[in-house]
Amino acid sequence: MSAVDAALPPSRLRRFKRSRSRSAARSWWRQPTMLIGLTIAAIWIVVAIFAPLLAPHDPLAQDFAITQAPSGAHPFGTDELGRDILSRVLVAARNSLPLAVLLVLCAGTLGTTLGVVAGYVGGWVDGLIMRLADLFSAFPAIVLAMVVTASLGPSTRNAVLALVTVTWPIYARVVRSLVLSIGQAEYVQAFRLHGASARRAMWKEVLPNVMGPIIVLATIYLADALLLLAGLSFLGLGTQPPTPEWGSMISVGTQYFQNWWMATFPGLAIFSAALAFNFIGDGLRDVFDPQSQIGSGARGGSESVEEDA
Amino acid sequence: MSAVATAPALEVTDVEVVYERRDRDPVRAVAGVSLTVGRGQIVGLVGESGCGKSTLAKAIVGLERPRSGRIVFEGRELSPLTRRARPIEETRLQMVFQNPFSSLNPRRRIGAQLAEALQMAWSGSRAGGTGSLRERVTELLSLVGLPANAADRFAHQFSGGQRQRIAIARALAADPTVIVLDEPLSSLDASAQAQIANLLVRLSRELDLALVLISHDLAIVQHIVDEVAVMYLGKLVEQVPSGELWELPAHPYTEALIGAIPRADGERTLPVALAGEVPDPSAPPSGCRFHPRCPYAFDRCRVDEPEQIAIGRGREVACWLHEPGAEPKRPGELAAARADA
Repeated sequence: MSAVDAALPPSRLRRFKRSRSRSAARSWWRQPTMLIGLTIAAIWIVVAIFAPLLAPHDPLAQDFAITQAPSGAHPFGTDELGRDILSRVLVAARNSLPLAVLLVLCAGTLGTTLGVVAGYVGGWVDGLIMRLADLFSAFPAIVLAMVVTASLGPSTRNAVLALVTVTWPIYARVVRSLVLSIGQAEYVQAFRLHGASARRAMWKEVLPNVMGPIIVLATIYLADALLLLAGLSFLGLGTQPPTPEWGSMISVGTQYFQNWWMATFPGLAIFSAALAFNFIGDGLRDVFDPQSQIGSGARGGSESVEEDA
Repeated sequence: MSAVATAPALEVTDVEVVYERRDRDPVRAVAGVSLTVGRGQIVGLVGESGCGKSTLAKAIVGLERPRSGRIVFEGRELSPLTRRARPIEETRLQMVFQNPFSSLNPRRRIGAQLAEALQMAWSGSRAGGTGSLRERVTELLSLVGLPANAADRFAHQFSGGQRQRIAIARALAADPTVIVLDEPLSSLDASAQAQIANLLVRLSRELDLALVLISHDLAIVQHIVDEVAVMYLGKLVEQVPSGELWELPAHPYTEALIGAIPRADGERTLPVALAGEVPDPSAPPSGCRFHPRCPYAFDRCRVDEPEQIAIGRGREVACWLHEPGAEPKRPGELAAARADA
């Protein structure tokens, strides 16, 4: 520390010290989009946890007064069976959000593992894994997922399973290319020349540099997962009635298009949650960029230590 | 014991590196190079871009598998790097890369990178000094002229010259006897170049460290090295103790390289550029590889490839102008003769 203290003018030193101590904790969420994303996501998480307490009505309770427009008693109106749409939207967050997270976790883990294996082992193993990835991504995700759920039978579990099989190639491809390119990086070669085995270099040098981009990718694809799950439910292949689910609520709502509230409110729910995850993913990209001033925990991105040789 | 002590630190014999390409001719990036580096000696390897210098550097340290030839480091033959950990004795051959921006891990603190390199050397029971790991890291940093707090930072917080120092410090962590430096100066500005150059000379003297300094810039190399090896299109064309090179370059290519160095002698003489480009290494010219660009080329140069011949103490050249049978005609003399005529 003393050398820097001596070398930096007081004003810069102050800024440097302050940035090291405080700005790291202060600034990473300060970007507006990140802030919006985090706020919306936090609201949805709270809603998902406390949905039964927040919901004004039983989401499954039917009423003969069907398809009522939004009113004081039913702020979002009621659906074709007279169920309160607000309550259903809130309770559906408990189903949709954890499922999306589960889907991303499963597909991300599977894809990352296969990508690392493909990039590290190479040869025919690499060829096999990547041709499989090609095979699964040759079809539109939702179409392939439909085939899988149709053959396994429509249920929430099968929908997740189907979407895992169609989304893992995204992660596998990115991870494989990262492993290959970082594996060739000069700092990895230097590490090897110090006597590290390829496996040790993989764990110590390559994988830590892969994890950042993967977390960003996973967060952005969380939005995608939400939409895909909603899409499958919309097609009747995901969560089955009467369990409230955003996608299936929209699906039913489109049959009653004159009652705009039936599809609009679950649609807004999906929209806001997906948007929030996208914003967070974008923000995380900056956090994980070691070049950015936000990520490293120190401000002096381009500033270098002044020193006398 | 004495045999080991007198053996050269690094001996490269007829190394050839070939890149196979799909549907195209293979590239002989290094077409048979022999080079000997003594203990504590600084050898400069000079040549234009694309002549195979970097490939040779990678082959020497084992990052590239040579098609043929031998690399003997400290008396034992070095095998190219595989997936396994390199034997600890072989880690005393280190390399510093050209681009200091990609040769440090962006996500690990400098101290952690140095400490890990130290630990690997230590785990091989090669005590690199006394004191804690942290003290050794500080010691390494001060050896290259950086403050101790540099250990707590990330690579992007340093300038190019500072990063190059860190890369050198990391190489030093292995307690090396030979460091191959691939263009360590080319990406730095002039003042940083001078600093790193001085640092390298100092380290070499203090630590009895042999350096193979690869560069395309003869002007910088001349001040540092004990011996120069000039490379052209995958082959060495001249090897000479540094001092003699400037008096009378033996090979026309060396002459051209020296002529291309800008001079600040007040006479406003512009550097002379060598005509033409480095030929495609996958289809090298017949005979002497340099003949299409050589101002002194004659018939034989187009047909026969010259071997390296000794033309003095520690001096070798691959050029028909210096053939033992023929009357020795160095490029300088030849030019003088032409001027007289």
